[in-house]
This record gives sequence, structure tokens and C-alpha cells, in this order.
Amino acid sequence: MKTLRRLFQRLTSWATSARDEELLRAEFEEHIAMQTAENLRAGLSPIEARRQARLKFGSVEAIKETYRDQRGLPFIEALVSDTRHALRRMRRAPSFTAAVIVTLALGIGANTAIFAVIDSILIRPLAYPQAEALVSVSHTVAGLPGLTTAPCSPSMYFTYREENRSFEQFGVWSSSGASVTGVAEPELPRALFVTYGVLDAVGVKPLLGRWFSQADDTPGSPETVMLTYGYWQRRFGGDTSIVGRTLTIDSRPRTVIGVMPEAFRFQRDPELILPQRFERRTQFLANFSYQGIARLKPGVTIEQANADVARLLGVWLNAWPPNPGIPRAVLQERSLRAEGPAAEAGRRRRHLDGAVGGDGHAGPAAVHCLRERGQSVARPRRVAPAGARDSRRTRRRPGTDRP
Amino acid sequence: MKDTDVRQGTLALMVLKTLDVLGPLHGYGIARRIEQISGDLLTVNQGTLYPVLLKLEQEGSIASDWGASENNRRARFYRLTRQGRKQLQAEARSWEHTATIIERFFAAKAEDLK
Repeated sequence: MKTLRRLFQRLTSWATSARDEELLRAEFEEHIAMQTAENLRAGLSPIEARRQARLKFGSVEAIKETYRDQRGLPFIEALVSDTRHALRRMRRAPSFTAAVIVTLALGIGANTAIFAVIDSILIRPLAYPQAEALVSVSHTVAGLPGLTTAPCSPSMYFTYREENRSFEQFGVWSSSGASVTGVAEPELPRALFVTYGVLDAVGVKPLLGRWFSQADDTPGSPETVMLTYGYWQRRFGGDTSIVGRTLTIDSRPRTVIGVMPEAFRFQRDPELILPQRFERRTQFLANFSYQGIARLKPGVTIEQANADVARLLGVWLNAWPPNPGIPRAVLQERSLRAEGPAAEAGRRRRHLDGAVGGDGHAGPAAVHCLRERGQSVARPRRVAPAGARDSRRTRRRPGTDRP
Repeated sequence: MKDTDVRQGTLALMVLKTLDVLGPLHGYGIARRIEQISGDLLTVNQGTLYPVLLKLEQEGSIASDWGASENNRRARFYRLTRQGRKQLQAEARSWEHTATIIERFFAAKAEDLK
């Protein structure tokens, strides 16, 4: 109750502080005057009497300071005076102030931008249906200098696609550019090459037309293309009659079979989606140039998928001709020998024991599936809190007598 | 023991008691009376007296009015409020209580406790 009462008093006295200051001065003056009079009665000279009185009273300013601290709300008053002080200094150094403001603005802006990226890549779930079942398929190569992960080769695509037990859909993709001619200015939009299965794995239905079918992948069939929403809007003004039209891409006519919806996102923000065609007869084991993506069958865990890929690696090794210069026997021998250590390394690194023989130094290679989570991984930095506040004046806070 | 500063926590009690005995007084008067009553053994530090007066006033134990001093100048006179009188009684009891206990400790001899 007492505390509340004091707080209220402090709040009200804050408003009347100028007048209080005057009264306080008068009160102290009177105190000193009375002391002087007393000293005069004791027989001191007028000058000495006044001097002694002042000495006894002590520092008026120090007492006022203590008094003020108790009377008002020193924290808020200090804040106000600090702010005023800071603003005054900023006005005196406009170029420095501008530099600081620009730095802060850039810093805050960059943090916001990075957070927005992190948020869309790492925090928010992928904008695909049942995104938790989407995995990227790549291989960890242990013991090979300079090569730590191996994506998928075309031969793997065929084996994995046909022999797997854990994927509902599987496909491989790559990005590059493709020149478009014959429509206004020639240009080189970003192109995404996908095998049949990639869009099915992602599961985003086209806005217009259809997805690629297995026929689009087959060499010799009519060539086709899909557009993403942004490109369709920009280049064709959202013309719905686009499906069925022919575009000249890389000097070859391709029929537009569909347009992806606005919400569709993929790495490197493609504008065109083209079917990836592999000639089955001409494939060797190695050519790890394609990214694998798969949708797991319902109920299949990452571990089961890893085991499945490990098994598929064995199948693949025996199903395809080795690249010229690398005898299959060497690959098989190495892969067999590598099995033990690979299994151990696999457990340690949460990878599994598929073993791929690589080149002459081939050690064990483990296989893993990664959650498809986009490629850039960055961490937002925390801004360090401001340290010393040099503008803060030292404030006296003498010990007060408390009953 | 000459000119000892007032111990922490006791000044407020002395102020209340002085005002209780002598009626309304200004700050200088309070300081002088406390020094006189102590037989000039105590020096009242103004740097602590005025903050204590302010605190007591904020708590409602004392009130102040402006009036004319002996020199016929404006001075602030402090007086005890009803609440201050109650506080004085409570604190005096508590002080006596503490003093009694301390006294017993000083008087205690080893044989008394056997």
C-alpha cells in the first residue's frame, strides 16, 4: 500500500517538477540561513558564519540529485534525457548519422530477406501435397577424394524406376537453358529437364493441359514442352489457347502440352519444363549428372528406402555395361570387398551399406536419401546487442537512509 | 563517539519522534533537535535528512506546509499526520523489542546458559 502510494506521488510530482525544484531551493536556502544565524549567535564573523553553515549543509547539488531520484521516476527521466542527448549528437554529425541509418536499414533488410528465404526453404513445409513423402535420391561416396556425393546416372534411372520397392514415383531432373525462337525476340529461358515421374512425384497438377507421360520420354515420339505460370503470363499474356501450339525450342518444334499453376515451385525457378529423354541402348554405369527425386510409398520410412536403394545399387551394377576403361569385374570386386566397412560407416553416418566401386581408389560408398529440402542452407545471424552506451552520463546514487 | 553519523534506518524514527514531541518544525529545526537530543553526539547529514523527509511525506507519515520562519522568511514546516503517529508507535515498539533482545545477548554470560 505504501509502495503504491509512493509510486502515485512520484507520478504526480513528475509533472510538477519545475515548481518543486524552485521550492526545494527555497527550503535549502532557508536551512542555510538559519544555520548562519545560529553561527552568528555563537559569535562567528558574518562571513565565517555563512561559510560554516554551507560546509555543514554539504553539497546542495548532491542532495538535490538524491531528492530528484526519489521524487520523480529517475529511469524515465534518464531515458528522456539520454534520447535528447543522442538526438542532439546525431544532428551535429549528419553524415555519420546517415551512414549509421543506412547500415542499420541494410542490416535489417538483409536479415528480413534471409529470413524470408529460410522461412520458405527450411521452415515452411514444401508447397507440394504430402511433402513429407518427397525425398531426393543421391549417393554418398566415402573415401573418394573430391567426390562426396553422386547424384543419379541415366542407367540408375532405368534400374531404380523398374526395380524399386519403396517409391511410388521416381524420376531424375536437371536444369539448364533452352533457346526459344520464333515468338517475338529469341530468348534463353531457364529450363528444367525432367523424366517421366518427376512431376508425378511432386504431385502438383497442371493448370492447363496434362503432365508428361511415358511416351514423351521415349525417343522418336513427338517432342513436347510445358510452361510455368510466370513464363506463360509474361510471354503469352496468359493465353489459354497455348496448349497445342508449337514452339521452336533449340531449333526443334515442340508442342505445348500444359501449363503449371502459379503455386508450382522448383529449384532454380524454371520457365520451361522439357522431357528428359535417355537412349536406353547407349547407357553405361557412370554419368552421375542427374538429380533423383522420389515420392515414397505410404508407410515407407527413410531407412527402408535407404535399404532399398542399397539393394538396387547391386542390381544396377550387374545390369549395365561399365564405362570404357573400367572393367566390371573390378567394380564388382571392389564393391564386394567394401561391404563390411561400408556397413559400419553407414551406421555411423546414418547412411546405409550400398557399396559402389568408383575408380582405382574406390573405397566404400554409402547410399542415403535426403529429405528434399531445397539446396541453400543458411542460418540467420543474430544481431549482437549494443554493448557500452557511451552517451550515458554517470549518475550519482548516494545511499539513502531508509527506515 | 563524537559526531557519529546517524545509523542507517534510525533517522526516520528520530524524525517522527521529534515531530511528535515538538510539533511542526522545518528541516533545519528537525536536524538541530536531533543533534541536541543526542547530546550533540550525532551529526545529521542533510544529504540524508531531506530524502528521508520526502520519503516520509510520500508515504503519508508527515505532511508539510509553507509558513514564516524565525527570520521571517518562507520555510517549509513538517508535521506528523495521524498515520505517522501510528507508524511511530509501531516502530517504537519494534525498536524496543529489538533493543531488549540485543541487550539480553550482551548481558548473557556463559554460566547463565548451563
